[in-house]
Amino acid sequence: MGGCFSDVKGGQAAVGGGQQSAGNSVTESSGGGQNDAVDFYFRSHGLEGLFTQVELSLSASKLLDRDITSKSDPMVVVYIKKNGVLQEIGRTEVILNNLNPQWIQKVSVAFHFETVQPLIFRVYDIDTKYCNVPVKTIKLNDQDFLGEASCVLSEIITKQSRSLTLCLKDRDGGSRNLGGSLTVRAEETIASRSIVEIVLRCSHLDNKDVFSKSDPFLRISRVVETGGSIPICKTEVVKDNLNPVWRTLCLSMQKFGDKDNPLVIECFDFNSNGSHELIGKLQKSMGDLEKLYREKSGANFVIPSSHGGYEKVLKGQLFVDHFVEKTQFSFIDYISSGFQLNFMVAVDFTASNGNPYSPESLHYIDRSGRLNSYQQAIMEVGEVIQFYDTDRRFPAWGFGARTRDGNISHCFNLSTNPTEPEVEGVEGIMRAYANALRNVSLAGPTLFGQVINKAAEIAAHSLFANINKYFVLLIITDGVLTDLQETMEALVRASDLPLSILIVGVGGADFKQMEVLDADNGHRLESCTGRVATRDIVQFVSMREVHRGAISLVGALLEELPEQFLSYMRNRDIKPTTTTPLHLAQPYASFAPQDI
Amino acid sequence: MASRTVEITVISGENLQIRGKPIKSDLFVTVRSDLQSENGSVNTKIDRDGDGFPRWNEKLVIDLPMHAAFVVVEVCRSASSGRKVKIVGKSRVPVADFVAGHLPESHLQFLSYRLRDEKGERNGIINLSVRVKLAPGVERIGVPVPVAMPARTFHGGGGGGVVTGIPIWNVGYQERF
Repeated sequence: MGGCFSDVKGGQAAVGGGQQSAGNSVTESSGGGQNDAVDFYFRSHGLEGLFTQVELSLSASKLLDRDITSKSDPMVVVYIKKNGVLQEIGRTEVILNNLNPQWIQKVSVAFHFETVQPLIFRVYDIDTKYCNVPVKTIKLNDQDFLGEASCVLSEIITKQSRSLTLCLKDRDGGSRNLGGSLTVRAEETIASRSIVEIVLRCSHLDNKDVFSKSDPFLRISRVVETGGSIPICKTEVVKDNLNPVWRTLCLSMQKFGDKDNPLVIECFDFNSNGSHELIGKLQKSMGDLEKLYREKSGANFVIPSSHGGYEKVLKGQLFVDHFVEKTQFSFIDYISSGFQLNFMVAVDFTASNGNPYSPESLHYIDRSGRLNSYQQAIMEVGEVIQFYDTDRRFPAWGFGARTRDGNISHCFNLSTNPTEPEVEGVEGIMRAYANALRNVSLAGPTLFGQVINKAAEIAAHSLFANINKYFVLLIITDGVLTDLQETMEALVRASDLPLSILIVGVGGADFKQMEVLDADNGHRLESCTGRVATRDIVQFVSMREVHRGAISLVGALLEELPEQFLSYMRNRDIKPTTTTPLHLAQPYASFAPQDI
Repeated sequence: MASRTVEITVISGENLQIRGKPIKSDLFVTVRSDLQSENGSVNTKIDRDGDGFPRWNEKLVIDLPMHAAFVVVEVCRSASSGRKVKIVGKSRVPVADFVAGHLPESHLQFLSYRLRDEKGERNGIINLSVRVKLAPGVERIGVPVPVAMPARTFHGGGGGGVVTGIPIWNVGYQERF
C-alpha cells in the first residue's frame, strides 16, 4: 500500500521541533497545556488522585511487511482501557517504509498510582494517500493492521529500565503472534517552561548521491541514563545541498533533559525508500551547542569506521546560527496571574425543540427538579467556566424566538432587562432561561450569525481597555443551522479575536454540519470574500456523546480551549502579568515515581 | 495625497502548487495598494526551499492612500534560468478588514487569505500580520473613543521584542500603542 515513491513528502516533514504555522497553530506542547487545565480544575475540586504525568516513547522491530513493492509505513495508536471501554490517548507520527521504526512523537498519559491502567497499542500500516494529513484525522478502518500489544502502565514504570518489550498479536487480545515486537519506554514528564530556539547549519557535508548532491536532514536524540537514546526531533529535508540551513527548532527542556544531558545529532541523506544513509554524527549537550554558538565555531561530524573500533573524523561540520533560551508559559500561568475567561451563553429557542409545556420537549421544565438538556449543559459547562471567570457576570442570550414585541429575534437578552444582557452566576443564567421560556414563543429559523457577531463585538471592544481577557461563548442548540454561510463568515471575522466558541448539541439531531465549523479536520474556514480563519476557535460537543460516557464534558471542553487561548496570547507575545507565580512551581514534584 | 502607513508582515504561504505539484522553491511576495501599479510594489526576499509551504517572516511597510480599497498581495515565482516571473497566487485584501470595525486601529492583527492563480483557481493560502501605524497627532478614525491600551502588559514594549513561544517570526514590538 504505502511506500510508493509519491509519498515522500510526509517523510520529509519535520517532527518534534515545535514548528508552527501562523494559521493553524498546532503546538507541540498541547498535551501539557490541556492536562494542566484539566488537572487544575479537578484538583481544585478535591478530586485529585496521586498521579504523575509520564511520556511513552515507542519503537518496534521486525514489523509485518504489508506492502509489496516496499516496506510498511507504520504508526502506533495508544489506548487506555477504562471501565471496559477503549479510549484513544495518542498517536505517533507515520514513519515511511520502515520495519524497525523509532517514533519521535511521544504519547502522554497520567499515571495514577492507585488504579490499574491497561494500555493497548495498535500498529497500523498507513496508506500512501494519508501521508500528508494530520495523523489525528487518519481513519484507522482504512489502514492495514500490523498487530496489537497490551500491558499495564505500572508494569513499565516498575521495570528498572522503565521499558518493556511486547510481542505484537492479533486484534482484540487474540493470542496468535503476528511477528514483530513493540518496545515502550516511560519517562516522567518534567514540568518545565524552558525552551530553546535553535538554528542549525552544516557545511561541507559528504556527497552521498550520484546524480545530485545529498538531501540532508538532522535527527536529534537524547541519551538516557538507562542506556540507549530516544529521538526527540528531526528537521525537514533540505534538498540537493551540502551546506544546508534548517528552520528554527524549538525544543523544550522536557524533550532534551537538561543542558548537560548528551544529545546525539545524526545527519542523514534522505532517501525516498526509507533507508536514509548516515552522513555523519556527533554527540553534544545543549550546553555545548550554546558554546558553539557563542564561539561561532563548528563541530566536526564523525562516522563509525567500517573496520570497527575507531571513528573517522569528517570534513563536514555543524554550526549553531541562533540560540535563545525562552520561557513558555502555560494556560495556568496566565490564569493565575490575573487573566480571565469571560463566559457568555446563547440558547436555542427554535420550534424544533418542541413545545416547552410538553414533557417530550428539550425545553420542558420538570417541576420535580430534573434538569432538561439545556439546563444540564448550562450547569455543567458553566460550572467549569465560572471557575476561571472571577466576576461571574455572564451575558446570556436567546435566539430563534418570537419575543414580546411580536418580532422574531436572533439575539435577545434572556434577562428581563432589554439593555443589560448580563446575569449573575450560573444560577442567574438558569433563572433567566426559565423566565425567558415563559416570555417568548419558540420560532425559527436557527441562525448563529447574530449571536456570534454580538460576542465578537464584546471581545473586540475589550481590546480597547484590556488585553488580559479572553471570551468563551457557549451556544447550546438542538440542530441544523439555516445560516451556515453567514455563520462561517462571522467565525472567520472573529477568528483573530480573543474568543473561543463552544457549541453543545442537545437532542438527537444529526450534527454533521457542526463538524464543518469545528475545523478539526485541518480545513480552515473560508469566507466568500476569500478571507480564511486565522485559527480554529470552535469546539463542538454533543451531549449525547457525553451521556453515553464516551467523553467527559470537562475533558471535551478543556481539550481545545487552553490551546486556543495560548495560540492567541503567544501570537501576540502577551505574557502573564507576574512572571514567577510561586505556587505553580513544579506541580507534580511531590508525586515523583521514585517515592513508590 | 493623504495616506496611512501600514506594516504588513508576510509570514508564510501554505499549499502552493503549479500543475498539481508543490512549488519547490524561489517564491517571493509583492504587496501594493490597488491604486498603485506593479512598479510601486514592495517585495519580500525569496524563499528557497519551502516545498509548497514557504516562510518569509518579513515585514513590509507600505503607504496606503486613504481611498484605497484593497491591498494586493501576490506570490510570485522568481525568474531564473530562462523563466519569467510568474504570479502563482494572488489575493485582494480588503482594507476594511484591518482598519474599520470595532478594533483599536493599531492593534496587531493576524489575517489569512485564499490565493488564486491567474485563471482564478484556488491555489493555497497566505498568512499575514497587519498593523496600521498611527501618525503622531492623528486621531483614531472610525472607532469608538477608547481607553488607551496599557503598553506595560506587552513585554518588550521598550525594545528587544523577545518572542515567547512558537511561531517564530520577526514581528517588532518596539512600537508603542
